[in-house]
Amino acid sequence: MKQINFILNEQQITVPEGTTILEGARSVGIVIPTLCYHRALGPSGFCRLCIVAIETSTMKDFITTSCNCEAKEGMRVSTETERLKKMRLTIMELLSSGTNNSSDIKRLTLSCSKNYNPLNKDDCILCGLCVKVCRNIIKACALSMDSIEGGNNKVAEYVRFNEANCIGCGACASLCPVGAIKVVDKGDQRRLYLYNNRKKSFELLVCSSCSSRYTTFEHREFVLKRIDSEEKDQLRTLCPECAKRYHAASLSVFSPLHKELFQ
Amino acid sequence: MKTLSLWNSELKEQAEPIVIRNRAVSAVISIEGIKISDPEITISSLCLQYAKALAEYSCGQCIPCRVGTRALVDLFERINRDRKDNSLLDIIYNLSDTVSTTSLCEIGKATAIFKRLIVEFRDTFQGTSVKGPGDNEDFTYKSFLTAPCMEACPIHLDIPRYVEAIKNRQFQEGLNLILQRLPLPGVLGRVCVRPCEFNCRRTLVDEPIQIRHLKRFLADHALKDSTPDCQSIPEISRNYQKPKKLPRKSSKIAIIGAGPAGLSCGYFLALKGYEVTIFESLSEPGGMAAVGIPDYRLPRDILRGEVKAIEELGVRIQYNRSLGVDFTIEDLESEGFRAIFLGLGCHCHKSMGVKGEDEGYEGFIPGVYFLRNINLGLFDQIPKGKKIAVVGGGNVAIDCVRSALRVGFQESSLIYRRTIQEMPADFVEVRDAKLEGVKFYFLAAPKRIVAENKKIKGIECLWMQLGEPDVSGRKRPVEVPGSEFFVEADVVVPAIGQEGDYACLNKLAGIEITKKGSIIVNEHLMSSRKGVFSGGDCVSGPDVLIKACAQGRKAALKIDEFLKTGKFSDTEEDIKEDIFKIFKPFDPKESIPFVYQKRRIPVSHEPTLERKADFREVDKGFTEEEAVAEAGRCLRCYRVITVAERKA
Repeated sequence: MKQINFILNEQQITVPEGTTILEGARSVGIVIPTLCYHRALGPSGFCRLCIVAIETSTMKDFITTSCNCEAKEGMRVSTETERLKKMRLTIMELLSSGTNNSSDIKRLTLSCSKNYNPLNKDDCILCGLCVKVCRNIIKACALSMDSIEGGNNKVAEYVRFNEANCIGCGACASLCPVGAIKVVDKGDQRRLYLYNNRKKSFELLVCSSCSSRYTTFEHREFVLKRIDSEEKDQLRTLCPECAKRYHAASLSVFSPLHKELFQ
Repeated sequence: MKTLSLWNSELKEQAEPIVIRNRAVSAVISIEGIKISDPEITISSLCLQYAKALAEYSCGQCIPCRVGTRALVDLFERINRDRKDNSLLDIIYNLSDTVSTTSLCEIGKATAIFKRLIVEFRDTFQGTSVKGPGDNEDFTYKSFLTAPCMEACPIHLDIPRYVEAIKNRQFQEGLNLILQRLPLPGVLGRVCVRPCEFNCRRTLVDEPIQIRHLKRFLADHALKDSTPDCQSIPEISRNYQKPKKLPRKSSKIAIIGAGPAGLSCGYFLALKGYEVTIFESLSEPGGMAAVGIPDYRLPRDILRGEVKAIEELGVRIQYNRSLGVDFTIEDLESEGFRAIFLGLGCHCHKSMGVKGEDEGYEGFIPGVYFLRNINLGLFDQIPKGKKIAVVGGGNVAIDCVRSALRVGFQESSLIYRRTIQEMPADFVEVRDAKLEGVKFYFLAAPKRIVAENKKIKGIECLWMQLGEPDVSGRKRPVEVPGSEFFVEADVVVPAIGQEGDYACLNKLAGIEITKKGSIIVNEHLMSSRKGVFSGGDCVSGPDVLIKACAQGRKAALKIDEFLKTGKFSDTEEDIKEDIFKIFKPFDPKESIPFVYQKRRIPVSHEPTLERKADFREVDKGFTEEEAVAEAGRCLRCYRVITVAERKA
């Protein structure tokens, strides 16, 4: 693969072509703050904290987000100029003005005034990671930002939940950086909490081989729908671990040589 | 405060009043600058209203715009309350610097104007007359949202929003957005001439977004959702978002012509609850979209499916009923139709004015009839032969040469009197035609059709050269004397334009027509006969599909207003259109500082050699992943403009 050389904070860096500035910086240990970036999901450019200043032959001090900007040969990037620091601080101020992180203060306010309606949403920083994983990776589309609804553009105030689409896979909860979405497995139940409200409960399936509880019925069906295999019916009742073992065993049936090797 | 204008960093006095739709307005503010013609308005109150508009239109995805625009509203409110307080200006300056530099899209970036205004007018920012908080109430403010692509689209589809919906995989929402303004997404997604793409701001970075293919993807996706076997069952109607309960009105409305204009008009009238009957002279719905566009560009199933969806809204279509033959306008009026919409189209061909055209030679057929016979399956009425020569440079001419190859002609050539640069046809079509082996004669004009025993042998042409530009801005072709040459052909097809059907139009009592054969309408699309409206090609002359749809929609809204109130008024849409005609949202000379380029995702085609043999669709359209990736290239160039007007 073609390699690209660029200068990051006066340091020469070589990365493969197509690498973003953010990934390039991380590869040499330079920290650029982000809220909404996750390697598995790719850039979304929502939090705007990862801004950097770029200097090329044609432009100077051009400020852009580093998560969705590919490094180009010969560009100079600085992550910590005075202007950037000031802007990042302003963005942080804006963010903290809209989201009150302390749940104690919330409770206290609630005890003082009945009119105060925090909707228990304040932990959420609207980074959009949960929406993105649900939509682009899992493709269940159970979560959405509130921006397209009705006749007008609307500001996303919170994450919307579409109960019918949720399969209870828990990917959103594992990605949420502030714990606004939680998935709790308790006994034979899986519960999904969004902003501390229970949104949906699922029954957990029992593996027919090891009798552990592994996932929800909806999740299993959703995954099996994508598999084009004759062994679907056998896979249906097995947890991922047992399914792996089952597969390994079935492979060795067709190859006596392997069977001998492994026994 | 005096009158001033700061537009695109050019500061001068605003001498002349700003007039929008015959009304003088006091001030205008947008990202490009500010114009003030009423000395009493203050910059700070204008800024407050502009910030309010930005906060309202913000999509809320990125933090600076979502929170920052609201913070700016708050700051401007404070500054307006206490006009002597100057300390907030620095805070506003710093905040708008951050918001405008770091925002994701153009809505947040528009806050750059505040920064510039503070630099320019620091002393006079809050106005010289300190009147207190009440003085803004002399003015009313209106804000308008558009985008370069939206403004170029004749029907003003909210393109950035449905592109965003595709990016977010909200395909149903995206389609519903289109259906709010356009009933034929699958048709336009295939054959639109896409003015939006030529006004795409991404062109200034790398290449325009392929908006048409994205629209087609949305329409096709809904189709796939509704039926697993989408090829055989043309039905997207199930996915139309129907109003739960249609309001019932007793008024009956007649529409003549089930073309794009008539269908759009019928769709919107039906949504408003009218009883609509469409009279169509052919046995097929779609008008020119059906008989003028070959199936390899627009499969008939798609068109029929979308027409069926319109019928399910309660629109009735009566086929094989021609105006002037089977019924007259008086008949309709006496039957109780309260309004009539004429969407007759332009189905008659223009003559070339060359020798041998009117002799009735065997092998001579005008382009529109050639295409119509193919599209209606009347293959025995197409002249037979091996070689065909088409004269013209528009989309009809290209459709003719490409269709000819598909009905068995071995050699297909096109004669055009200018060069490829001046060709009005879509360059994608020209490229496809070239790939399919069409022979092009540029800078050639027909002089005489040569025939033997009343059977065409070929066409004698003259070479041309380009001279001075004419009225249309294109260079006028001039004959090169004595440069005659001969193009062999069994069939000659002129396709140099269409005109209205005089024979039919002349019989319409009380309806004035122009010399060119089009119906004269006023700005509200009503003809000289009261209650008779018209739109589409029969008003504008041969034009593109999307314009016909736009006029059909506009006529529907006007008919509704006319029947309700008996008069017409300027709608918000009319005003908006006028504003953006003056303050154009697209500047092709703008330079966008941008480092990351991403080329457009190519659409796959059927292989050239195979597709030439039949009428299969050439373009295959996007897959889901391709569409999402292409939608991700959109820059969301929304433009907000706020207009202040003195209260009457």
